[in-house]
Amino acid sequence: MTINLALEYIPRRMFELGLGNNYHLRFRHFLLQPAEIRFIQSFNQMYLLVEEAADISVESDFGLYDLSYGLTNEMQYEHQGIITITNHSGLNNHVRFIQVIPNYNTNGNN
Amino acid sequence: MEKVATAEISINQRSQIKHFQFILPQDAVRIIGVEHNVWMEKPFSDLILETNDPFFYNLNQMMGVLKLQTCDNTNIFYNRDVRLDIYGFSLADFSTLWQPKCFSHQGKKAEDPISIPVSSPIVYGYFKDQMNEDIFDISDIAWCYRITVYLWYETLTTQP
Repeated sequence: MTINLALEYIPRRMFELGLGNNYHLRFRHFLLQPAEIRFIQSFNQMYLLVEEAADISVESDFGLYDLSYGLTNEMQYEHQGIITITNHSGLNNHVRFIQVIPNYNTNGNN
Repeated sequence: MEKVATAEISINQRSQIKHFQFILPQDAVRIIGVEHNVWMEKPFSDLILETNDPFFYNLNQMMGVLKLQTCDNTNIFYNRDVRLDIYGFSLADFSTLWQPKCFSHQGKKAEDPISIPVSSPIVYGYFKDQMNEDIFDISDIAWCYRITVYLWYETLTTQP
């Protein structure tokens, strides 16, 4: 997923989720050390992977993104819950997300 | 009117992850139940999972994790371990001549009742194999099986 696609996708997805325009966006660029495993708590939030990161696996309740993992029939770019990011490389690695934070306070229905 | 949508997942490698999708008709108004069934493509080895010892209690083998998610604000609405429900019936059965089965002892799992409105007709599914991770070390064989997921839903249309 590219950044442009993500920015097109997010408003429609938020509308589907019943949030309308009540959300914030943050661009997150993670730098991972060699073989680092990082856990991100993303309850009530959404992380959209905006690149095809190599040597990286991203796993959450929603599914898995890992270009080196051949045992799945689909890659997941949208993640929520506890997200586990693993750097399979022996070098530093980068991975970029757009973080969508719903603003529940502004909408009485939520 | 109640209707059912089905999806079949085939697992034939260790730690396999399968995504699938249900597309419900436009007149679907409510999801009312989920049911799943496991069908082994290769028979189990007796040495691994089954024994005739009446004091040996076999837990039902966990096959994997099944998750279902709608595209609307319900989000993930079903997250459950899928188990092969054929073991555990032979506890304290000393006959050893005949193995009780789930269908002979009314142990067949029924549908999980749920009730969520359908505002988006697309339901995503996710299944991750756990069984081959559990027993791969002792069997060295990837067990093949199929899981059928049944999604029960209600429509506005009444039966003619």
